[in-house]
Amino acid sequence: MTIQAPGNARKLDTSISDAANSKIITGYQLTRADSSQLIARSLGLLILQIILAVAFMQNADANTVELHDNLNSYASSEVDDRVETGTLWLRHSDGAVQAPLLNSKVDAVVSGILAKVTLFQEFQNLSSHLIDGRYVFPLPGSAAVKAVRINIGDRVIESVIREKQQAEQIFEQAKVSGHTTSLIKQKRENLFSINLANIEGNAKIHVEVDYIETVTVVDNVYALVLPLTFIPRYTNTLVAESDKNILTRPQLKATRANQLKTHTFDINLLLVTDLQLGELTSPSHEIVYTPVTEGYQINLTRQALMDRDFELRWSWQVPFRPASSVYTETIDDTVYMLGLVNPPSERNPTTRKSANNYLSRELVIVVDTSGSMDGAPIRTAKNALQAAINGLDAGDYFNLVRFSTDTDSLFSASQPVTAKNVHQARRYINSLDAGGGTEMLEAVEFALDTERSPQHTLKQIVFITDGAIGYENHVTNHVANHLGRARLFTVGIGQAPNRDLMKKLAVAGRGTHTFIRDINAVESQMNRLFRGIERPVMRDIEIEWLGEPADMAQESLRDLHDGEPLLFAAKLHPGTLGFIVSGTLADQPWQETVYFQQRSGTEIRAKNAANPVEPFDQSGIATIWARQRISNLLARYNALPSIPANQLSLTGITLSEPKNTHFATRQNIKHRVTKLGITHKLLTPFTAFVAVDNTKINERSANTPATEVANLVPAGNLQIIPMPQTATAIDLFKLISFISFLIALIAGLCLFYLEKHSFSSVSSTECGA
Amino acid sequence: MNTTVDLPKVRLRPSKLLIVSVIAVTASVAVFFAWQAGQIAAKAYLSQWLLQMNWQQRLSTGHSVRPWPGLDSYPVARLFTEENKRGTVVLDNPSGQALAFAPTLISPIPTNHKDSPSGTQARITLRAEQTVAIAGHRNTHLAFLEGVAIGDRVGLETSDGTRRLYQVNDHFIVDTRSEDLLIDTNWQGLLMITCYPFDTIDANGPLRLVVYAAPVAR
Repeated sequence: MTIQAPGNARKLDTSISDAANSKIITGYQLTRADSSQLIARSLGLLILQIILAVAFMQNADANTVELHDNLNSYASSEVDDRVETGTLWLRHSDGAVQAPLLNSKVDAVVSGILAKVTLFQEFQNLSSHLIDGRYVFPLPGSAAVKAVRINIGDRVIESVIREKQQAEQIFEQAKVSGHTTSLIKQKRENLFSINLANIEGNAKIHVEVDYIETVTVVDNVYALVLPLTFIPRYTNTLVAESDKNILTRPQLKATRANQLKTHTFDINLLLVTDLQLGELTSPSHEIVYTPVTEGYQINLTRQALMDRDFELRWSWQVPFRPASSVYTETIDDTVYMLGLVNPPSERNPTTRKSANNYLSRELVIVVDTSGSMDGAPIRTAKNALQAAINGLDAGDYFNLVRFSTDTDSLFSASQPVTAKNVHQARRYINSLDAGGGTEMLEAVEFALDTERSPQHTLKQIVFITDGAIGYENHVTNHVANHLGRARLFTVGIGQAPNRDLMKKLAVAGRGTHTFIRDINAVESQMNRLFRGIERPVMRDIEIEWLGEPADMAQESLRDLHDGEPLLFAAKLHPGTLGFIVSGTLADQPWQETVYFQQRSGTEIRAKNAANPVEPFDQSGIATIWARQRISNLLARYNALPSIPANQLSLTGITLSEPKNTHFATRQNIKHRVTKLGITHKLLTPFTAFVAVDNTKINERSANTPATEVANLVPAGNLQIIPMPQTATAIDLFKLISFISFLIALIAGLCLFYLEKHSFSSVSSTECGA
Repeated sequence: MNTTVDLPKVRLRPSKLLIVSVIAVTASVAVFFAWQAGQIAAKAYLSQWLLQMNWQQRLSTGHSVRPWPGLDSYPVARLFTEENKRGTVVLDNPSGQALAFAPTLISPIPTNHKDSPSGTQARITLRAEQTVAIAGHRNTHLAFLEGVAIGDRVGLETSDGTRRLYQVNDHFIVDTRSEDLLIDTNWQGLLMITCYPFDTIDANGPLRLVVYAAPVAR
């Protein structure tokens, strides 16, 4: 039984996007829609409109004059009249401060699966006096930040890594004593803050952040993402008060940034390889590449704005897919290794539909309709929903859930796929509007809890959101703990989604993640998602060491989806000879044995080595190992309930044993992460980079203004601090009513006049209308 | 020849039916739009009466209940001016629907963790250290901003019953096509935002009047 003729579905889709396009400021357009409908409805209004137009034009003239007066008075009341040429003012209780400008540039070298990136940030103080500044910026969730430098004039000051509180103290001291200083902290897995103090008047400060990350490989397509902005995260009672002003930032529109020549971005990327490039694309920017001796040089065709994530995808002409490869780095006689194993790819997987034991499926689609989705993201999400509905088969069960400040669903429990239910679903999708908060936890609870009774149903949850929340851990923990038999797949929407949350949620939900930049990518990405759902998954992955066991960064390895390589880091023991990877793919056991042929001068030749692998020497592997170990420790840290230390001492109540143990474990993990961070010079939530320019002391007054550097609104997003349409059509209605009444009166008088004199002898000119 | 003279006469002669129908159409248009305008005004002012009762209830019981079924918004504060001693209740959800009934809070973004099934749990509470931004219709609730001057005092009552006093210290116009409102969220002041100019017919203009009021110690 077919549910929906494809032609019909297409027709519906276009009507949706049209409707969505015309409705630009969704949520605040009620008055416009109402009034335009009314106008269309009433006939005979053509004449009135002409009269109105005349009246309105006069009115408009009066307004412009008034506006100029007002703007002039505003400008003169300000510090100076640069307002008109475009200055970014930050308002405080006592007047306005000029916000520093920010421009950034990225230098990256990609070799093998490692990307070494240097992010340059240039802060420019436009005012003539000393200011402090703060900027919050995103980096990839897996980035290992290993060095920070600041450049003032021709002085280069290297940052040092310190325990966070200690770093904050150093910064505060330097700030008070008038030294130029910087402090970089990690606020979230993928969100960092930089504090600058004592930026001299009309001066520029360059900050360089070095980080390493592994590029992603799926189906032989390599990808590198550089996040450049973020959506202010929604905060509620689950988010610490101290984090709130970091997560919700002032935002700047691209048009304004263009005018001010701020928030520009440029990239200079070197792809080191001796392989032939197959395809090289960027879904986000226009790029140009030139072959050089080391490989390929990649640049932007023109400077861009930081209003979207930069993304690069490439593949090799001849797919480079060795069964396994090993990268090593030796630091102080310790060998760190990064292993990459490609499990066999199932080219013709037995899908759910073709299998004999047919399983019916329950698909719950959850969509974020919060304020941060307003604009292009909600339109994209609605198209993605329609595509998901198209992917349903007869015999399946489905439900739609939307959430913002509250949660509601199409059905109270999943319903079978019938023409009527599908129709109802499409109407529900059409009615969706973005607005309000992002209470994600409630929707996740709802989607996981409402389970249908049939035992053999596969429960799949597709979660469509931008992930702009500040309480990520609560959501991922809930999914990990309450998943049951369900599988959760995430779809990240927009130009700058919270990618780290999307990935972590998918891992916790044992599903995959997909990103949809804009409406044009909906079809391909949703198809990819549904193909991914159908493909078999490699489970129970384990590594057994040959010889002396090595120290793995991860405690356990997650499931691998088809086309994904296994990537793991380990600290090798001198006696480690190799490893055996095993797993289960579609109920079939799989195993791969790898012997190291030679390693850091020590000749280790295993007997009966079937396929010895020669390790590549590559710097940065130790950093990757430390970063993965830290991530692993932090995941455990975040999964434990937090009990603040002051609560422990203040209440004096003996806590129940498990809670006490949890607290001790947390303290222990914190200590271990701090130690790893200091040893490997890595930024963690418990360590920070601090730099102090000791060469100069600035005159600092008590009221040196603190400024915030804004982030650009991601392209397509509407403003987060919205300025809703705050006028009703009441004046228009009054005017129409009044004019209509006037015309009726005149016509009445005419009639009265004509009644008196005989009709036949009077011409209309005498009526005097 | 005579016929050519007669013809225009016939054309110029207005029919009684035409005039009557013009009266009928224009009069009904007048009544219809008067009704529409009346509805907007009635919505704006009668709902305030209901919201005031709801607000009093929240102040006395400490719980917020839905002001009326179907409204997806809850009172969050009450705004006072020198002229308006009774105050205007402010709602917490900046949707087009809520704006018809009351000014609404646009910053901080409403936070509501679990609404209990009975809907009696407190929703948003404004904290003293936050910047509060309120948007409202220029022709109804925030019409008083047209005559606002620097130094004017504005009061805000929050759900715990405390009243904070603010003094207008700045106002300016933002063009939403090219400008952004950068709010320092730790400033502790009050922002009132409405459409600008006040006396235009166009209900969809790009300009907004932003009035800043700084907290005053009493």
